[in-house]
Formats: sequence, structure tokens, C-alpha cells
Amino acid sequence: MKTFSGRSIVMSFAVLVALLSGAVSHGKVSPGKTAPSFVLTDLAGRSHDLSKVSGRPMTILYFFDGESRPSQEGLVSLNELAKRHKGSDLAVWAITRTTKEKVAGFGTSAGITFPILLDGGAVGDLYGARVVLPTVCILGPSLKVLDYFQGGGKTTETMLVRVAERTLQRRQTKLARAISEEVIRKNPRNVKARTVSGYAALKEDDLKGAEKAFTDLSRDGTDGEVLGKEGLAAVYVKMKQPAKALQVASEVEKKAPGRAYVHVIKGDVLYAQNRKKEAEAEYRIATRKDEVEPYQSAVRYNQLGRFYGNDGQSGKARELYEQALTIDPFYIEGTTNKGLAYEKEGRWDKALESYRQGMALDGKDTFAAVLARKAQEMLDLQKDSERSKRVDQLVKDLAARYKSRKESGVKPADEWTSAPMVLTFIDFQEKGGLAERDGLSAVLAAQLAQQLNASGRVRVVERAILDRLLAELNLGSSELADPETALRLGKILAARLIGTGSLLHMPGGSLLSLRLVDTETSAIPQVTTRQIDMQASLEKELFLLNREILKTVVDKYPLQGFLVKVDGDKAIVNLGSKQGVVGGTKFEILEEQEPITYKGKVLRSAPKQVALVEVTKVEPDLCQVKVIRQDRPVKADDKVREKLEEVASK
Amino acid sequence: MSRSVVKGLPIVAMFCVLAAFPLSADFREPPRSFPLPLAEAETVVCRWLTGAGLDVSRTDAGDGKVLFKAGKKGESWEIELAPNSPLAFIMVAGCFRNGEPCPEGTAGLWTYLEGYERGVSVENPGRGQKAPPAVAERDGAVACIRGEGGGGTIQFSGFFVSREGLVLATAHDLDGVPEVTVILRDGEQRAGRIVKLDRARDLSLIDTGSGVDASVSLSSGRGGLREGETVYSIGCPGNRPGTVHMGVVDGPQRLVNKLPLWQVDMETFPGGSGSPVFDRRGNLVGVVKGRYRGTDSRGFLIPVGTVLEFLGEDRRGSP
Repeated sequence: MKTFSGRSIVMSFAVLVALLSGAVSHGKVSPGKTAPSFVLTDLAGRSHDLSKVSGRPMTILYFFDGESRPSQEGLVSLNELAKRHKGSDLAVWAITRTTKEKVAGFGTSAGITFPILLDGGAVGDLYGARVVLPTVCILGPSLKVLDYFQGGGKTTETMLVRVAERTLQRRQTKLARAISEEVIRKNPRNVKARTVSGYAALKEDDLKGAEKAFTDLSRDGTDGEVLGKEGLAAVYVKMKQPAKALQVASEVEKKAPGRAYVHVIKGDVLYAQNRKKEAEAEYRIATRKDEVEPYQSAVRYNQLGRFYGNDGQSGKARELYEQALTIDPFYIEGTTNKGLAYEKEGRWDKALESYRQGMALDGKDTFAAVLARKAQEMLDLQKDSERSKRVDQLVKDLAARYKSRKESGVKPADEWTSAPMVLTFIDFQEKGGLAERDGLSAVLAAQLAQQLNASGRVRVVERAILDRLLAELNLGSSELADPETALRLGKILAARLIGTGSLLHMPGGSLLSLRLVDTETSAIPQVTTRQIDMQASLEKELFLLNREILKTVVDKYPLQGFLVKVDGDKAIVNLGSKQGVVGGTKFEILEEQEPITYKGKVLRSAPKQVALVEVTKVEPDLCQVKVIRQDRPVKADDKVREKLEEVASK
Repeated sequence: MSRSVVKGLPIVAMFCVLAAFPLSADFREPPRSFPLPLAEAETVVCRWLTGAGLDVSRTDAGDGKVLFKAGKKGESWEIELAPNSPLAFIMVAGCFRNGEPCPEGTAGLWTYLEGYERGVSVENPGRGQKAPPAVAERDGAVACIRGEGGGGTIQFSGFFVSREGLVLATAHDLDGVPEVTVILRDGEQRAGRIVKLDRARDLSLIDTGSGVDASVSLSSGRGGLREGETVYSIGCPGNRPGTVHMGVVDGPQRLVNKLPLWQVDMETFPGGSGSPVFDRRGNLVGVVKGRYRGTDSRGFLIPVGTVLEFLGEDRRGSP
């Protein structure tokens, strides 16, 4: 009979205790939970406090054994990626209980750029990282644990794929592609890495690259076929080949009935074809299936939420956005969609909270920033009771005037002198597919309003007033689609121009058709059609639209006034900043021409330009000008008219 | 005056850091006007300043004017923007480097604004030169390079030839310059150490110390060019990153001081030396060496073969 020596019993007990303690700690740290905080010092003696980096979008904690090769390999792989993608926000803390003397040599020879933190053992125990190393813990915003896995060798590959997937979720497509390609280089059969690479290409609008990646993948075994064809269906949607997309999607369904994302693709195609009931059914199926890539899981709930949001069910939509954000804390589209759902429920504080959440994920996100500014303005208005009362009264008066069909009673002082150019944006009608992101119409209107107001030449009706008036009059998007209603509304708001139109959502972008409508004549002085990408070209397109609107205003609605006083080559004009005069504006001085009577008919010719003046100083009611060219001396009561000059860089 | 960064400022400009820099003297240059609305100009100027690694503060200066103050170690800027009609603005800018006025800095800003205005002009959307997609893809590998030489500040172009962060550039102006600043297309600035310099071939190799996303493949470089073939350079003449110039090869390869060069009919401006030149398919065909004295439309390219010889020597252990 075999007997155990006292020493071996003690050893076995020690291992058991170690394993048990590891298991207990592992229970504490698991996906979905908040990671425990700690403070550790690095090799140089600098202190690192995890709680202080809780605002960081992603942190990788890499627990490793400084003397074990598999442990070192993973760290070196991460380090190489971070070095190659400097500034890419790949934050890693390497944590070890190996002694400083032993680990310092490895850190220096491998050129590790991350902080290597020295752990006496307590932090490793807290994270269940004692027995099996390396242990990797990927943290999201607010230190939420996203992934947790242990072991060397194959785990390094798994870890890199997971990091690539998380990076793709954060829309860092270049880095995601690079990490996944690093994995593919070492293991060309890794279907998950190839899938990430394909979707990263798709997000970068490299449709040919994505098509190739997914076609190759679809020829590589069962898993590859399913993932590849699912990706191909998504590519065909973006290539505007819906029939092909649906056909490939149905092949995926047959082969892998548990796949979820294929139903989102089908839903998007059907929605764009106005088959809304069928689209809803597909979106619902997508939320019930469980085979889905981590970076696509949240999209299922988002699209169903967008469906309900467009259907006027904002409460239901918001719950789905919340689900999407629980699954994927990096899902910025979900944060702004949730905020917009709160807006529709009148909960501006919660809306602002959501937009700030989005801004924390991506400080350069135009959507989140614009919507947050708008929400803050609404909250400020609510807090300012005096202003709020004034707005309420104004809205009541406007609503009464609208109902009684009385227009704004403001008449200009004289027929010639211009009134300020007031413009109001009426929501753009959204058509076509179901964009992943809600609110493009609101963002466009808000940004254009800000730029136009900043020009000083155009005044845009405050959004708060318009929103309250629409609510008071119970006018929804379908009523506003009626041009008569929009015109009447514009007149009530004393706006000379209405900016309206439509947004056609298509795969890969939206087509904006903007019309400016003159409320006095019903003429349309400007029609513009532009393709707008939600991310890439939004800012540029807004700048171009702003320029086009300003050019139309100055060209078709030039400011007109009179010279009030003349002193040598200086004069005063009866137009100031209230009317939209800005420094440097040129006015031509006009002289009416005597009409010619010919065979009993009176022929009038256009006024003749006799001088050109330039604005040197602007006050609220008037501006000072200097004469820069004249055919005759200018005099008081001369008519002036703004001149659009083609300015070249000089 | 009120200091503000939030209201009335376009989104991108909001990311400017608030800071204050004392103006040491009136070193501003004469005013220049540009056909851009003031709000747009603010965003563009702010982006250019932050892209150059400067901390930027913005102040409303009254009468619709906006004042930017920007600085970093050894460099300070003051820029005033004023409306010059709803569709144009006037800019007065001044720059100081190491206590001395730096007109080349403001010249860089002018050319950047001119390029921006050309690139997204409403009036002339087709005026900016556009590269075919295969060439445009190479843009991420191109860098602007700055340094302090014996004759003052130098500025030229270069491009990454390896993912490990090695930049190929021209060598002229680099005598006695041990280190340069390499500015990547995303605005990141890195210190660059000159690891190899070949005055005869007019080529240099600069190590930026860490990896990059994009580099130009030398293995797909083309040696032979046809007379009349269209080529494209991407570089930063006038400190204007991502500037594309289209050109046409206007003769067979010539030997100048025993070294072969391609002559091209292509706009070539100061700061563009070192720009990579590609064929229509995005294959590297040469490096901009410079222009024929007195013109800005006749350029010379260093052929790929010379580049490979230069790098081949490097691989054999030199320097």
C-alpha cells in the first residue's frame, strides 16, 4: 500500500489552498463586474492607481510570470503592437509578482514600454491571477470587466483577437485591422481574426478589401463559410446590392440557424424596401439568437430600438439602447440614440448624461458634442425661469397667431431698408433605410444654425422656440412635410427663409437634399444635394453648406439701406449688426436712373453703381464705412446695397 | 474681452487647450485675406496650430474678432482673425521661434490655408489636385520634417519606408543637423535621428524611434518611367501636409553630376523635397529632389534605383 509522506501531504494541501483561493478570487473578477481598484508601483518606483484611470476607454491588465516564456510572449506581442501604433490608446499595465531584479532584465531586453507593476501578491490574488499565468483582464470605461481569461500559448492569440474585437468596437478600425492581421500572420486559419479584419475593412469603406477577405474566409471550412458569408451579406448591402445580400443571408441562415447578425442585415434591407413589418420581425429574431460576434451583439438591440423609435415608441426604444450599452459599453451610437429617446420623453437631464457618456468614449464625436450642447441649452432655459416664462409667452403668442392665420406684424421702417435675415430650419424628412444612428437631421440643423449665427449675417430661430411651438401646435413630421404648413410656420416666426428638405439614408451614408424656401414669395432660391457620411465628411459638408447658404443670402437678399451722414471719404449707413452687417462688408452706392418713355411705355433701367464703400466699424444700429472707389462724391440719403465680392486669397 | 472656448466656436475648435502665452513683442506680419467664413477659419487655424503640437488659447477680441495665442517650448504665436464680409476673413499672424521672428512659420500657415481653401472650395470644387485612390492611400506614410540648420529653420518632406519608423528624405540642408522633428499625418510629432546621410545621392534616413501604421513599399518600386507618363507627388511643401501635385515625365532619365534624375513637368515648391512620387497605381517611382532654379513647374526626381542603392548600403551595415 502506498503511503504519503508528511511533506507531500503538506504540499498537496498548499496546492489545494492555492487553487481554491484562485477560484474564489476568479469569482470576484468576471465580465460585467467592476474591477477591484489597487495601487502598485512600477520598476522606476512610480505609483499607479487603477481608480485614477477609470475614465480611460480600455485598459488591459496583464498578470504575468517574469520568468515564464508563455507569459513573456503575450506581453511582447502587445508591446510590439503598442510600439507600432504609438498614440493609439492601447493602454496596458503588466503586473507581476516576480522580483524586481528578475523582471527588470526582461523588461529592458524586450524594450517593454508599458509600466511593469510589482505586486507583492495581493493584487494577483484579488484578480485570481496566482496559479495560472498569464491572466488577462480587459477593462472598459468605469473599470467594467469586459474579458477575463487565463493561460499561456494559445491564450496570447485569443487575447489578441479579443483586443482586436474590442478595438473594432471602439471604431479604431486601423488598429483592429493591424492586430487581427498580426494574428493571421501567425495563424492564417484563425477565422475570428479574419472576420475582424473583414469588418474593419468594411467600416473603413474598403469594400473591395472586405469582399476579398470574406470571400476567402467563406471558402475555409464550416465556421469560415458561415462567418465569411455573413460578412459578404453585409458587404453587398453597402455595395447597394440588396438582392444579393438577401440571397447570401438566407444561405447563412440555412447553414447556421443560430446566427444573429444575419437577421440584422436582412432587417436593414427590408426596412429600406419599406417592408417594415418584415424588418421588425427580423430585428426581433436577431435579439433572440445567441451566435453573434461581440462587436455586433449590441447592434441587434440598437436596430430594434431604432425601429421602435421611428415608430414613436421612444420608451421601448430607450430600453433597447440600454440593453445595447450593457452588452457593449463602447457603443457610442447607443449613447446618443439613448439620449435622443430621453429627449423625446422630455428628460433633458438624462439626455445630457447619455451624450456626455458618448463624449467620454470619443471626445471628437460631432454627434455627441452637438446634442450635448443642445441639451445643455434646454436645461439652462428650464433653470432660467424668467427666460423660460418669456419663451412660453412668445410660443403662446406665436401659436395663437398661427391658429388665427395672422402673420408677424413687424413691418420695415421703409421699403428699401433691409430687415435682418431670419432663417428657420424645419426638420428634414428622413427616408430610406434605418441609419444605425438617430438624430442626423437634428445635428445638421443645430450645427448649421451655429455656423450661420456665428457669421453675424443670418439669424437662425432658436431651436427651443421652434420645438416648443411645434409641441404647442401638435405638429409632427408628417404635418411638416406639407409645404403649406412649413411656409405658414416660417411666416409666423418672422423668418424670411425656411431651410427644409429630406435625408435619404442609404448604406454607407445619407443623401441630404436641402431647400431654402422664401416665405414671402414661395420661391426656392437654393437647392443643394449632398452625400453625407456620418463620420468622415460630416464637418466638411457642413462647412460647405454653410458657405452655400451664406452666398445665397448675400447674393439673393443683399442688405439695402441709406447713407445717413457723409464726412469726406467716411460715411455712416443705417444698417448695423442687428441687420447682419459684419466688418469688411462692401456696399455699392446706387443712383436711380431716370425712366425712359418710349412710344408711351415707361422703361426703367437698373440703378447705376456710383461708388463702393467698405465697412470699417459696426455698431448695433449703424455702421461706419470708408469710400474705396467713387464716380461722384457720395452724399447723405444715397441708397446702398451689399455687394457679393469674389474674394481670392491675398 | 472674454475668453471662451465653448459657445460660438465650432466643435473641433473646442478641443483647443486653454492656455495663455505672453506676447513678447509685436512681431505680426501684414494682414492677409482668405475667402472662408470666420467660423470655419477658426476651426482650420486651430487645427493647424494643435497639429503642430502647440497649446492654443482663444479669446473674443471684440468687433467680431477672435484672437488665438499658441505656444510650445521655444515657439510662440499670436493670430487675430477678423471678418471681412460674411464669407471671408482677414488674418494677422506672427510667430516667434527661439526669440526671433519666424516668417517661414507664418508662410507655412498661409500655404496651408490656401491649400485648404482650394481643396474644399465651393466655387471651384475641381481646382485642387486629386490623386487616384491607389496613390491617395499612400498619404498616411508621408511626413513633414522640420529642423534647425545653420541658416535657420529648415522644412522638407519625407516618407516612412518601414513600419519600424524609418523615414527616407532628401539630404540637402541637413549638414550639421543632428536631429529633426518628424510630423506624421495624424499630427503626432516625433524626434528624428539622422542615421544615414548621402550628400551625393541627396538622400537621408531618419529613425523616429517607434513603429507606424503606414509605410511605402520599396519592393513594388518601379525603375523605368515612360516619357509622358503621369506621376503624383505627396508631400508638405510650405509645411502643408498631404499636398498632391500631378506631373508628367518630360524626358528620358538624365545624368546630373553623374547621378541619374528624372525630369518632370510638375509643380515643385520649397518644402516639397523628399516627397515620394508614385505612378497611377501607387507604386513608388521616385523622390522629389528639387526644382529647376527659377521655376516652380520643372522638378527633378531621384529614381527608385538610387533609393535602393542607398538603402542597400544601409542594409550592409553602413553607417
